[in-house]
Amino acid sequence: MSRPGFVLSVDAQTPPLVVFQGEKVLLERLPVDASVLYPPEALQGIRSLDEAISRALDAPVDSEPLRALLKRGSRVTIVFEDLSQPVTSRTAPDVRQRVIELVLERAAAAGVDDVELIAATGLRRRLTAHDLQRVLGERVYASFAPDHVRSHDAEDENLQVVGELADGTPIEVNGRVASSDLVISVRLATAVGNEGAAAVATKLIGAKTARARGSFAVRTAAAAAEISTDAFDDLVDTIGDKAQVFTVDVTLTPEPTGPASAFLSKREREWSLTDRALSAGLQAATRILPARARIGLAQVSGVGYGVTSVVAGKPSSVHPLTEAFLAQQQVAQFDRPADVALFGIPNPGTIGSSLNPVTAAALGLGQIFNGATAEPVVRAGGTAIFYHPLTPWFHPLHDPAYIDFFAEVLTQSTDPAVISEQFEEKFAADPWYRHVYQTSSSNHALHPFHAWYSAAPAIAHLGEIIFVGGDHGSTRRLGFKSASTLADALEMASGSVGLAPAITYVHGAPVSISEVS
Amino acid sequence: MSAFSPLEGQHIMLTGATGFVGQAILEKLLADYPTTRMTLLIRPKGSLTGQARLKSLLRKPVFSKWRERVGQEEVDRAMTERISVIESSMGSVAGLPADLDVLIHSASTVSFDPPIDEAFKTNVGGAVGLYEALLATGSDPHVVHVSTAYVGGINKGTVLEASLKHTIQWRDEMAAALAARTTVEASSRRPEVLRKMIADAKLDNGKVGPHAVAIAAEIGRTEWVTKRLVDYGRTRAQSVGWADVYAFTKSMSERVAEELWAGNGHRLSVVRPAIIESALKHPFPGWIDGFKVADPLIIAYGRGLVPEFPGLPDSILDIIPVDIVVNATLAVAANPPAPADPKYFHLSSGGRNPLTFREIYENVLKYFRANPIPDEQRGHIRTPYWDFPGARAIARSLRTGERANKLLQRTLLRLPSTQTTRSFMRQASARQTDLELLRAYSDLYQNYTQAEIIYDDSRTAALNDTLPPDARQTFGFDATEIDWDNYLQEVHFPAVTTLMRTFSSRPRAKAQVEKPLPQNPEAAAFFDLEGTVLASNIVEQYLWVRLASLDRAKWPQELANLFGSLPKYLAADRRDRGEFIRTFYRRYEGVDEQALRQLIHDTVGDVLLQRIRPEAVRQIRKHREAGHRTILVTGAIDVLVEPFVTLFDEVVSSHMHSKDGIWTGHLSKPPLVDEARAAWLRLYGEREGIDLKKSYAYGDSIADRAWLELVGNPQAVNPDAALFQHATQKHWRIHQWSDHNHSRFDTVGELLRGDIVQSASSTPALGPSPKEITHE
Repeated sequence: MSRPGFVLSVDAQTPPLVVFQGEKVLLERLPVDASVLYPPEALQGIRSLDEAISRALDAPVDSEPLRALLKRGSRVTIVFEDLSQPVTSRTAPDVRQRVIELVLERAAAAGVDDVELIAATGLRRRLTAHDLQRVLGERVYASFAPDHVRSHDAEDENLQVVGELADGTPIEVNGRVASSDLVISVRLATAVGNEGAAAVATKLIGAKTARARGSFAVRTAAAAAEISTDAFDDLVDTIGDKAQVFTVDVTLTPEPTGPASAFLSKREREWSLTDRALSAGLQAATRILPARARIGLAQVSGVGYGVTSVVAGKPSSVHPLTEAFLAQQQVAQFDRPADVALFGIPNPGTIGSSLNPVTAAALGLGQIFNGATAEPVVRAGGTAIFYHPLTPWFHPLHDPAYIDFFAEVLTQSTDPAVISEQFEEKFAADPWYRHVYQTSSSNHALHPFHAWYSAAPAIAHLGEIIFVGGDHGSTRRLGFKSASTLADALEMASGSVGLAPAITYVHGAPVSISEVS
Repeated sequence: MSAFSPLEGQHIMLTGATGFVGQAILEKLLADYPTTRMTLLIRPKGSLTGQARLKSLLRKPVFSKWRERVGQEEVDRAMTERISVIESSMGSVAGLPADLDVLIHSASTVSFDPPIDEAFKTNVGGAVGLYEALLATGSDPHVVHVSTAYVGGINKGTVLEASLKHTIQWRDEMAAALAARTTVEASSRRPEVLRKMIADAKLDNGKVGPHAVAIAAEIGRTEWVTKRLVDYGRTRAQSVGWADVYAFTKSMSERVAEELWAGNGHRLSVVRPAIIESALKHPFPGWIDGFKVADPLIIAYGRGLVPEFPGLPDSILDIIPVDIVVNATLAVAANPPAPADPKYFHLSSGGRNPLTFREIYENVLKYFRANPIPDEQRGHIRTPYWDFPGARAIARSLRTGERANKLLQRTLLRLPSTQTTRSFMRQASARQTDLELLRAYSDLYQNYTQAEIIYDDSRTAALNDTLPPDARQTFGFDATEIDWDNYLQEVHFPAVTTLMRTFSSRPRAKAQVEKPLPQNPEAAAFFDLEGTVLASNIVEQYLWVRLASLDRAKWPQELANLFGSLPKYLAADRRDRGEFIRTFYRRYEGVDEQALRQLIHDTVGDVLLQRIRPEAVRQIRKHREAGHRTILVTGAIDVLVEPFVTLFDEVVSSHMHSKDGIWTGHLSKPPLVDEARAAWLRLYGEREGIDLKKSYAYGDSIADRAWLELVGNPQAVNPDAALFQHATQKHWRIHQWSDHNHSRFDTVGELLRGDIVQSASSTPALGPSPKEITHE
C-alpha cells in the first residue's frame, strides 16, 4: 500500500514548492496558510508485467479466457489507444506492446491469421510510422506494416452503421472493427473519468457521428440532465451484430522517468541534498536556455507512468473495476472548496514538443472537473490560476485546424455556443483539413472545437481564470488574463475573492491528459 | 459702387483664363465691370470642350463671393450673354473677333523647368500664333501682354520699367529649341547611350525578364531625353543671363509682342508681375488657386522637412498679392499707350515695400510655432531654426546626404529581405523623397531667394495715383499698402496651410480591416509556391528529398557537394530564374520517378507540408469561398508539388523528362517562371474566360513582377527587397505571412530520429540511389 495523499498547510518553514510551467519547472513560495494537495504516492508498479498480463488474459472477468475466444478462421481486430495517453516510460517497452505481443501469441497458437491492428484515435491525428513503432515495438510493427496496422480514419468511406444517437444521427464505426468477429481492446487509464466511456467504439466512430455526439448543444444538454445513459451503452460488449469486444484495461500511475527528475515527484520537505542540487541546476538551466531548447529539457525531466493493474474481460464488467481501482488514488479529503486553486501545467515529454495554447488551456481547465480530486477543488465563482506560457506555437503537421481556430475563430468569439453555430460546419466541411487528416498526421478539423467545448463547463464554473507567465496576446485571445507572478495573479483575483482567499495548490503534474473527442 | 467705370462697354479678350491670374481677372471683370463683354480663348482638354471648361471654371471658389452676391441666375446669364468662348490651342489661333477693344494675354507654361522645346512652343509659339491671328483680323485692340518680373534676368541692382536690353534673336532661339528635340532624340538612340540604358534596366529588371528590361530601357531613354531637354533649356537660359527657361522664354515672348504687335503700329502694354501669391482682399482675403511658387517651400518648412535653406537673409523675395496684379492689369488695360510706343509696368513690392527673406523666415517660424502642423506619430511637428550657412555649405551637405542614401538603398537591395531591412528600406525611401524635395526646392528657389535685384515700379505707382480716391477701395493696386506681417500671418499662411490640410487630412490608412473578398466566378487567384505558399525553396526541397533517401553516413558528402555548388546557383539565380532552375534540376539526374513518388507519399510530403504557411492556406480558402478559381503556378517539379494539389483547383508545374522511368535531369518543357509565366497567364485568362482585372496573384520575388502586374490585385508575400520596393511604389498589398515555428533544425532532428521516415523494410528507398553528380 502506498502512502496516501495529504494536505499540507503552508507555514513559514515550508520550502519553495515545485510548479510546472510549460517547459519550465519553477520553485514557488506560496502564501502562508495556503493548502497544498499532494496526490497519493505512486503505487508500486507491477514488477512482472508479462505475468500480470498473461494472468489477466487467461482468467478474464465475466468472460471465457482469450484463448477460447480466438478461433481458427475468425476475423480479429486489435484496437489500442493512441498517444493521447502517455507511454510507460522512455526506455522500457510500451505496455501496449507487451499486451499485444501476448495477445498475438495466443492468436497465432489458435491459428487465427486474419488479424489487424487499429489505433483508436477518434478524431486525433493518424499515428506516423514512427509512433506506431514506438507503441507496438519493431517486431509487431514490421510484421503488420504497412497494410495491417493503421490508425482509425473518421473520414473513411467504409464506415458501418451500428446504431443511432438520441437525435437520430446514425452511429458509424470503423468498418473493419464492425465486421470483425472479435475486437480486442487495449486501453490505458490514469485517473477516474480519463479512461473515457465504457465503450471503446466511441474512439472508432466516423466524423459525422463524432460531430453530433460531441456538439456543444449535446454536451450542454447532457450536463444539464445529468444523464449517464448513452447510445453507446449498447456498444460496450458488442459492436454491431457480431463483433464481440474483449477488453484489456491497464491502469497507470505517474512515475519518475529517470534519476534526474525523480525529485520532482517527491515532497519538497523530503528532498535530499542531491535533489536540491538537481533542482537548482534545473532552475538555472530553464532560466538561461531559450524557449526552444527548454522543450528538450522538458523531455529529459518529464514524468512517465508505471503500470499498476491489468484487468481483462467483458468490458461492462471490467470498466467499473477499473474505475474503482483508480478512485483509490484520488485525493479524497479536503475540507471545503477553496477560493483560489493553483495548477501547474507541464508540456508532455512526448513528441509534438510544446502544447499549443488551445490544448494547454483545455488541459488546464480539465483539471477542475476531471482532476486529482472527485469534486472541484475550487468553489463556483472562484479563481483558477494556471502556470503555463500559452506560447502561440502550433505544430505545423498536427495542428493546422488549431492554427486557424486560434487565428480566425477565437479572434471572433470565445463563446462555445457562438463558435459551434458559426464555425463548426465550415471547418468540418473543409476539404484541406480532411486531406491532411487522412494523408498526413493532422488532428481532425473538429478536434479544436471539441477541446474548446470540453473546457466550457470549467470556464462557466470559475469566476476568474489567470495564467501565470501566459503570453499576453494569446491569453487574452482565449478570454483569460495573464499575470507575470503569483503575487500579481492573486492581486488580480482579489476583486472577486478578496484579499485573504483560501488557496489550494494541486501539487504535481495533471493526472489526466484531457480526452477531447 | 463709384461712378468710376473704366473699360465701360468694351470687349475684352482673355487668354489663360483657366490659370491663376486668368481666373482672377475674369472674376474681377464679372464682378466689378458690369458692362464689359469677354471672349475667352480656351483650349479643349481631353473630352472637355472649351464651353464645358468654362462651366466648371465658374464653379471654382474664386467666383463664390460673386455668386453669393448676384445669385446663380445672374451667373448663368453672364455666362451666356457676357462671355463667349473660342476653342483653340495657342499654336493655331483662328477666327478671332474683329471688334476687340483689349486683349489680355496671360497664358503661359506653369512649370519653371520644362523641356526647352515645350517652353518655346507654349510661351513663344503661343504668342506668335496669337498676335499673327490678331493681325489677320485687321482690328486694333490694346494688347496687355502679361510677362514676369524675372525677365529682368540674373542681375544686381534696380531694373527699370522698360523694354529689355539684349540682342538675343527670338527666331533663332525658337528654331534652335525646336531642333534640340530632334538632336537629342537622335543622340538618345546612339548605341553607347542605349547600351547604358539597357545595362541600367537590367540592373533593376533583369530578374523580371527580357521584355521588362526592354520596356524599362525605353522608359529610361524617354526620361533621358526629357532630362537632356530640360538641361538644354536651363543651361541655354543661364548662358544668356536668365535664371531658367521660363524667364528666358517669357522675355523672348515680350520681344514677339514688341515686334509683331507694337512693331506693326499697334498699342501694347507689358505687365511684369513678380511672385504672385494669395489675395489680399478680393475676392476674399487668402484666395489662392493651388500652391504657388513660394508655397511648397512654406509647407515643407512647416512639416519640418527643410532643415536649412540656400537663401540670402537680406535678399528680397518679391511677393505680390493676386488682387493687386488683377487691378493693376485692368488699369493698364484701361489706359492704353500711344501706338507703337509700348509701356512697361512692374507689378512688384520690392521697390517700395520690400520683404526680405529673413522676414519671411521669421514669419514662417512664428506662424508654425503658433500653429504647428499635427503629426500623428510625433504630436506636432517642430519647425527647425535656420542658420543661413550659405548656398555652398548646403549644396555640399545635400549632396552628401543624397550619396549616402543612394548607397544605403543599393546595399539594402542586395541584402536578404527581412522585416528589419524592409523597415530600413521604407525609411531610406522616405528619406529619398525628402531629399528629392529639398533638392528640387533648392534648385528652384535659389534664383529667387538669392536675388539682389529690385524691380522699380514707379510707373505702376503713378498709374495708381490717377485713380479717383473713392475708387481705390475697389480698383486700387498700391503695393505699399501691404502690411507684410499681417498679410503673411493672417492671410497667406492660413490660406496655404488650409489648402495643405485639405490635401493631407484624408483619413490615414488605418490598420486595414480585412474585408471579405468580392464574389466573382470569373476571377481567379494565382499563387506562386516557393516563398509564397511555402516557406521554402527548391534547393531545400531537394535537400529534404536527398536526406530522406540517403543513408545517414552519406549526408556530409551530399551536404558538402550541395553547399559547394551554392555560389554557382546563386549567380545563376541573379541572372535569370529559368537558368537557375535548369541548372539546379540537373541534380535530379538519375532519379527513379516511381521510387521518388513513393518517398514523397510516405515521408517527404510531410516535411514539405511542415513548411506551408497557415496564412496561405487561409487565403486560398477565402478565395474559394468567394468563388474564385485557385491556381498554383510553379517552376517546381510536379511530383514534389503533389502534397499541395488538393489545396488548389488547378496546379501548373514543371515536369522532368524521363527515360525508362529514370529522370534525365532535363525539364520536358521550359519552366514557367518570370515572363514565361506572364505569357502563360495571359493565354490562360483568355482561354478560360478569366477576368484578370478582377483576379489576384501572389508572389514573393521580383522575378514574379511580370505576371503579378497582369492581374488587378497583385499581392506581394514576404517580398524580397526589390519586389518590396516595387510593391511599395505601386501600392500593392504587401503581406507578411509567418514562417513556421517548426525550425529546419527540428526537421533535421526528426529525419535523424527517423520520426518521419518509414522503416526500410516497408518502403523501397529511393531506387538506385541517384547518381553522384560532380560539378566542377
